[in-house]
This record gives sequence, structure tokens and C-alpha cells, in this order.
Amino acid sequence: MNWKDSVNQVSSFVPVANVNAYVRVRAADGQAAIDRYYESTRDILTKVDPDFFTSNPPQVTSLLYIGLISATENYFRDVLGFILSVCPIAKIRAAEKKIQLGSFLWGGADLHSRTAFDFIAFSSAKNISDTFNDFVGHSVKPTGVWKKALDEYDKLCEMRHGIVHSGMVLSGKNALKLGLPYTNDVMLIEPSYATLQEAGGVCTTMVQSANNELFEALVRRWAVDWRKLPSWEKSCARKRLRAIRNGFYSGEDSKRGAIGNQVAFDTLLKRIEREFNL
Amino acid sequence: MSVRPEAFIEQAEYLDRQSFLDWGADHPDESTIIRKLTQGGAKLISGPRGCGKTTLMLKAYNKLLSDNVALPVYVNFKRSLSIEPLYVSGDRGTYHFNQWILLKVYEGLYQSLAEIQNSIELSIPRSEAASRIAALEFSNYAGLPELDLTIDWLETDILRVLEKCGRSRCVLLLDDAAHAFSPEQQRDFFDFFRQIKTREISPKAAIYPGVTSYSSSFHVGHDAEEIDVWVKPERPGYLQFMRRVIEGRFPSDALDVLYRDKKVVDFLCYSAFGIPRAFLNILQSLLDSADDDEGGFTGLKRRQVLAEVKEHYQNTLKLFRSLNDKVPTYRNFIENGELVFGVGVDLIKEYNKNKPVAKQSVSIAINVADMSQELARLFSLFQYAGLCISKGVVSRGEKGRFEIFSVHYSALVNANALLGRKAVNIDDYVEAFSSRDAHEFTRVSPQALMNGRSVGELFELSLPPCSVCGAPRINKDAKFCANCGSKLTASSTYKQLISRDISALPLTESRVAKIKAQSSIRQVKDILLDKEHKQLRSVERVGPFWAERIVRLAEEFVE
Repeated sequence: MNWKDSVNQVSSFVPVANVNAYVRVRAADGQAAIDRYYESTRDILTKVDPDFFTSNPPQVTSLLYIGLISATENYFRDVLGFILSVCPIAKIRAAEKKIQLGSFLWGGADLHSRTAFDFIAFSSAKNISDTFNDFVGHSVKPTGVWKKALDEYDKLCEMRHGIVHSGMVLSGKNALKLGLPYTNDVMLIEPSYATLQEAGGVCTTMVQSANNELFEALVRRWAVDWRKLPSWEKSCARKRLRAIRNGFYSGEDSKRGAIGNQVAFDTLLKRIEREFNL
Repeated sequence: MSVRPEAFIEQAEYLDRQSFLDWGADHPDESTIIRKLTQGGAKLISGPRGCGKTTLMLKAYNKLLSDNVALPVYVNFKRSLSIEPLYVSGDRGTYHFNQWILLKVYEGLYQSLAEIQNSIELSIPRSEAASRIAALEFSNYAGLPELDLTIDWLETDILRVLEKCGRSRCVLLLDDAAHAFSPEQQRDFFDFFRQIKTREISPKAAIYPGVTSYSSSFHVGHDAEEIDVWVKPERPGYLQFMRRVIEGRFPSDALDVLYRDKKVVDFLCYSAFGIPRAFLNILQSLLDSADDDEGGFTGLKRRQVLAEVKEHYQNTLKLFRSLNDKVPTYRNFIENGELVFGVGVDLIKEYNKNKPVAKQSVSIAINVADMSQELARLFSLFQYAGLCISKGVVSRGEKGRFEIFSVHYSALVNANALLGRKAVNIDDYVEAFSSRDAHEFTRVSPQALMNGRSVGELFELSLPPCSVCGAPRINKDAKFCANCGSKLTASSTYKQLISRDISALPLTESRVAKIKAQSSIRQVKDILLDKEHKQLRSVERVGPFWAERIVRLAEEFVE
């Protein structure tokens, strides 16, 4: 008997037999980033009931938080990719940035605008603000709901860190940022139905407010800034506005009657033309 | 005897400056409170409606104006609930509310500049600030050009004003700020309050006890000190304070007639339970009914006084019931809470039987260990309406620690809960209220208060179904509909309030009936929309004073 095997069971090597078994391909469907977010979080927020938290251990229930944050990060990746694909000003800014070529080349051409951001994490308010500033040239409005929501999202991200990296133990750095009281003991992240729902509210509010603010910013560029560029073609104005609208328009919210001022495209166009004296 | 109708204007913000200065009754702790309101640091002054918060803020404002050291800015946020529909409709409520707060402060800043005869153009012209405020209050802002006011702009403007006026700091007196019951609005307000606080800018806000929700980043004690300004009826100097309320306002001949029976005046002071506004209201009703008598007012009639105090209790209950509309989630708390309150009064009555006058109890005491969250919430709602006062926690050794609540004296009078006699006269009441032993309180268990029913049975939250698909909520904590996935929202409290029948206002039944019979007014919004009071003035016995008063009651109802 080797003394080295005296502390735990030793198993033989297990490979990942077939990575394809872990993944599936989803056809590109042109779905708006916000609807993709709704789709990804719907089950987490509606199918999981309070009993789920009593019948499952925290190791399982905490993963629901990760699902929420991940869906939120994915929204930003999607929407950033979309903006880059339609906005010439964002393209100019992105041209000054370095990208990681490997990931860029792996994805197909349709995915380029998205894979360009594979190396950026959207799991902190600062990263999100900086990325939109650097690549899109948009500063998050200090008075807007997005800015306020980002501050709340940051709190969730501190907890995400503990779940992902340290088995639900909140690290001192994260606890300090959250302003939690000092303790000599280990502080664990404790998932519950109420906090998951609240976290869902924070993420959803942030996605909705970001979507709204970015839509407004892009429409403003369409109405003012793009027109000053040599690449501007007046005949394509309508088509390009429609593309902006489609990229931000939530079919889900429309179905639920949850869009505050839902208008047909032509009406939207008229209102924007009137506001900007076009 | 003649008392000018203006003497009954019980809200300080509606008094002209001279009347305000002449009529103010000094709060027993006035010098301390004014010092805290005029010096640096963030403060919250707390107390129920009508206890004198606005008076204290305006006194601080006037003092600062004349001291010439700090610049005061007084802002009344009473119309904040009119912004609440924007939260519900999903129309960027937080954004618009923040803009509204900033605009209101700019408007206050211009007002202060005018008071010190100075004129400085700020980031937004005064007229534009006013028109934008009006547009937001009527949800009519769609056509306005974009303007993103920020706290930084405001801070820069304030610092610029301070420099030009030669004042070293600014005190923001934010009245009625957190009074709207919308938790989102309260949260957003306290975010603003925390952010605007700097070395040069000291915010002070008026809040209600028990029902204020702070933002997650706001901590009372750390971010702001809370000052309770409610003058409790058992404290020394209480009667003198309440008497001063009328002594400043009423002419000497009127006071002579009133003070013919000093005991009755003292009884009214006690029955008002530390609320000067209530005291003035009761007196006004008594004087109004005396106007109907031949020969006019010749003194307070004891039977009428007792009846009026009982009527006052009914109006206080009405205020409590109005929470049904303001916080519909707590509907069961309001409906069953009234029963709990009644049981509390009955238990005090039982306790007081066969006890000498100096040993009468006016309070209930609940063991802190037995106090459920629901019961604590209920008592917070009682405090908002002024039905009881929290007197803190006392320790009784092994028996435990007890939280004591003084019950509104008019409720005790209404239930004949003192002295254990069938007929208690006003002298007895005054003696019982004035010679109280602070150690006498009625110890009650939650089970007894709830008549043996459980917390779950009585205090279930009334959660509205999903507004999109109508499915019931699966849990009080649910934020998303389990059926359709929509974000769960409540309906607009403001819209519900303005649609209420006018009988919900604290008006007598006969006045409500007359208004309905002689005008087209049916709902609260009809009063608010009654331009120049044309409809109200067409009602018999409603002159300019009463028209103003009814409008104010309607405004207060939707605040």
C-alpha cells in the first residue's frame, strides 16, 4: 500500500470524451438582444418556485443566480455586436481597438461583431460602462435608470464572484464592496426565492433601461451624426432606421402590451423626423 | 366674539408670512430642533401629519434667511405622488422623478434668491423649471425638448450661488419628501438625499414615522440623524404648547370666551394627541356649529365638545382607512388592524376598572419577543395615522422587554375606557390625562389583541394579480408572473386615489351629501379639477374659506 494514497480515493483518468456532446448549434435567427435575454431568464424567474429552494441544496439553487448574470452579460455582448454591425461611428471607434484574432476567426462572418467581444467580461458595472464608452462612444447617462441599475447590478456581481470562484464563500474584497459587517466567521451566499426574484428584477430593469437608452442614442446618431459622414446615403435612411428599431424592438414586450408608447414604424419615423427637424 | 377664518388654516405652508410669524407656537424643543435644522449635516424630522414638521422647517428657513450665513432652500414635495403613474406605466419613472426633484430644488433656489433680493441665472431658467414641473405632474412632458439635469449641475449651481451671495453653505429643507407611499419613489428620493449631501450642502427632510422605506444604500443614523418632533401629550409643557397654538391666532375676546372653561380647553388639547392641526380642526367644528345657534358662540358646551372629540376619533380612523388606497397591499392589515386597535382599547378599559385616577393606563405594552413582523408593521401604520405613539422599549426583568404604545386619547374617550365608570365627565378625563403614572400600562399578548386568530389569518398581504394575464401571484416575493413571465407591477395608487368618492375625505356626511346634490362633484379628482372653485362655491354654505379647505383636504388625500 502506497502511503500517498492514504488520504482520499484515487480514480483513474477520465477524459472529456466528445466535446460535441456538450454543445448544440443554434441557427442565427435575428432575434433582438433583449428578447434573447427574456428567453434565457424566463424559466429561471417563472418556473422555479419557493419549494425549489427548500427541496434543493444551495449548491444547486445558487446556479440560478449565475444563469441570470450570464444572460445579462450575454445581452450586452449581443447588443454591442448589433450596434457595431449598424453604427458607422461605433465601427470607427472599434477600428482603434485591438481584438483577439483567434476567437474572431473561429466564428463565422455573421458572428464577427459578437465574437470580437469574447474577451470582455460584462460582470461589473465598470466593465460595462467602459466597454460602451470605448467601443460605441456612448457614456451611460448619469441621470438615467441604466446608471442606477448598474450600481445594483454590481452588488449581484460581487455575489456571483463568490459563487463561481469560491464555492459560495463571499471573499473579503466582495464583502467590503457590499458594505457588509466584519465577521470572524465565513460568510456564505444564501440563495432564496425572494433574493432570486429581486436579482431578476435588478437584471431585467438594467437590460430594459440599457436597451432604451442605447436605442435613443442610436436614433440620435441616425438623425444627426451619421448624416455628416461621407458614407451617408439619404435613400437608405429609412432602411437604416428600421434596422435600428428591429435590433432593439422587443417582440416579447409587444405581445404582453408592456411597451409604454408602442407605435407603428411609420409613426415612429414621423415623430423622429419632427423632433430633429429632418 | 370673532375669529378670522384664516386662524383655522392649520397647514403652515398656506399661511402668509406675517401670520406665520405672529401665530407660531414654540415647540418645547424648538431651540434644539432649529439648531439641528440650520446647522450642517443631514437630518430627518419625523412625526405624523399635522404635528408641526412644516412649521419647524419654515422657522428654520426664516432664521437662515435673516442670519445671512447659510442659504436656505425650502422645497415642498407634496405633489410627488402625481409622478407615481410613470413608475407604473413603465415610462422611466425613476428618471422622471429624479428630474422632477431636481427641478423642484431649482425652483426653491430661485425663490430663496428672490427672498434675499439676488438674481442669478442658473442652469435652467426659472420659468422653464416651473413649466417642466407642471408638465411632469400632469404626465404631459412628451413634447418637451430633452434636458438631463444632474445632481452635479445642481451642486455646481448651488456652489456658484453661495459664492455670489457670500454665504458659506446651503441648507435644503425638503418638506413632504418621502410622504408618497410608493416605495420606489421613497427609495429614489433617499438616493438623491444621500448624493446631494456634501460639506457645503446639508439636506433636511420631513418623514412620517413607521412607513418610510429607505434605499438600500441609505442608513438612518449613519446617513442622517432622525429627530422626532411629535409633542407627546404626557411630556411636561404639553398643555402650554397646545394652548399657545390658539393664543397666537385667536383675538383676546375669543380667548376670554374659550377660557371661561379652561378644563374644556385642556381636554381638547389632550384629545388632539399632540397634533396642533387636530386641535384647530376640532375647535373650528365647534365654532362652526355654534354659528348655527342663535346668539352665536358664547362658550364651549361640554356635551358638544365630547361629541366633537368622538367625531375627531372617527376622522383619525378615516385617515387610517385611507391607507387602504395608499398601500393596497396592506388591505388586510387596515381592515383587521382596526379590530386589533379596538381590542387594545377594550383591554385598556378592562385594566382601568376599579383603579384610582392616578393609576389609569393609556398605553398597551407588547413583549418584544412576541412581536411579529406583521404586528410591528401594523403598529407602524397606526403611528402614521396618529392612532398611537411608540414610547420605546422598557425592561421588566424576567418578564421580558416590552414595547409601549400610547393610544390616541380620543379613542379612549370614544370607548369610555378610563375610570371604569359609565359617565365620565370632562374634569375626570383631564385629571386622568394630567396625573398619569408613566409606569401604568396594559400588558397585552398578540393572541389577545388578535382575538385568538393567527397572524397568517389576519395579515395576509393583498397581492394584486398579474396585470397582463390576470394569474394570481404565487408568492409575496414574486417579481415575475409564473404564468406569462411579465414583470409584476401594481396599479397606480395615485390614479386610484383621485378616482375615490369624495366621502373618503374627512368631511361630514351632510357636507358630502350637499356637495353631491348641489354640484357635479363626485370624485376626488373633480375637486382637484374644479378651476377657481366654481363647483364648490355653488354649494350652500361653502364660501371661499371652505372651498379652499375642501381643496386642501383633497390635495392632502392624494399626497
